[in-house]
Amino acid sequence: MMRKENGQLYSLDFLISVGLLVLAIGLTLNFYETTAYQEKEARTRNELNTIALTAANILAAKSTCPEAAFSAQGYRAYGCYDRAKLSGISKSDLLIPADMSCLVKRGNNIENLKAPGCAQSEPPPTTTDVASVERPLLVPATAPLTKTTYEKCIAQACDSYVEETLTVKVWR
Amino acid sequence: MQKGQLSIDLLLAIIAAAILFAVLVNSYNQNFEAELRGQNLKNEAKAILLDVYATIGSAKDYNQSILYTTPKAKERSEFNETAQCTITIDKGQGSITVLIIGAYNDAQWNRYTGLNLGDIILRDPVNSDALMPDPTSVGCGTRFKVERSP
Repeated sequence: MMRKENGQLYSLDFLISVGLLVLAIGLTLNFYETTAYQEKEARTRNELNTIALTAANILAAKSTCPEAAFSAQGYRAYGCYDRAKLSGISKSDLLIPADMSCLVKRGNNIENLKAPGCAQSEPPPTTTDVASVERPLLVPATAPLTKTTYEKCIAQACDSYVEETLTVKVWR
Repeated sequence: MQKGQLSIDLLLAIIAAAILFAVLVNSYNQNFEAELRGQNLKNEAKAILLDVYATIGSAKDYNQSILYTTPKAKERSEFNETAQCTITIDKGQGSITVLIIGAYNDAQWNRYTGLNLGDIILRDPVNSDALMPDPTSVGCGTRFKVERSP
């Protein structure tokens, strides 16, 4: 009489290979999720940077130095603070979309340059993506800046103007 | 049965599990594929919108006349067709909108609003630089001039 033997249901090799397969699938999915997240972040940053750069360029284009003084030598200079030209520039003038927030400031003081439609405070600490563009700006001390004064001040320090930073921040 | 022999019951159980798994994966992939397609269309619309926006911004910044060709939507390889894509620039509303209709008639759009485009001029170079109407709707891949009014 033959002894009845049970068939082998599983092997250790099979268990190990299943474990490795699950590990490989998990790693692949994790890699895909990480890559997709990084791509999304890169797209968001690219968009914010483009909008912030455009807004900063518009502000810089409006920050022309006194034409009569600088154009005498045949060129136009940018980067001079002119309250009359820069005050009142709104968020829509800076081509910042309505669903985005912005902040424009001269130096470290937000009060110096308020753009209607933009925020009057720094972005919340919880904001993850903020694009910031900075431009140097010459703020005349008293009289409008002339080319002669500017060239003299390059050679030696003077108090005819103060160099500040114009900052544009954009976030969503 | 002898040692090492697979039983027919186990084989049938494995086949049934494989079939069930294949059905689950297939249904998951179908929804996943639709979502992926929608997201790809949205990303494409956003990329085209950003390109148009950047060009208009450059014309406004530097007071230049720019002869600009808008990006085309990617071709849909399954049907060998180019997706329908429309760019609408509305100076009155201050908006730029990009709409893409994919090969499966799924549409995605992206829009920027609240922009001051009042000093932007659009001209048609094919029509002797004639002023384009407001709002202007053009297909992706169209060429036109963008400049800032003096």
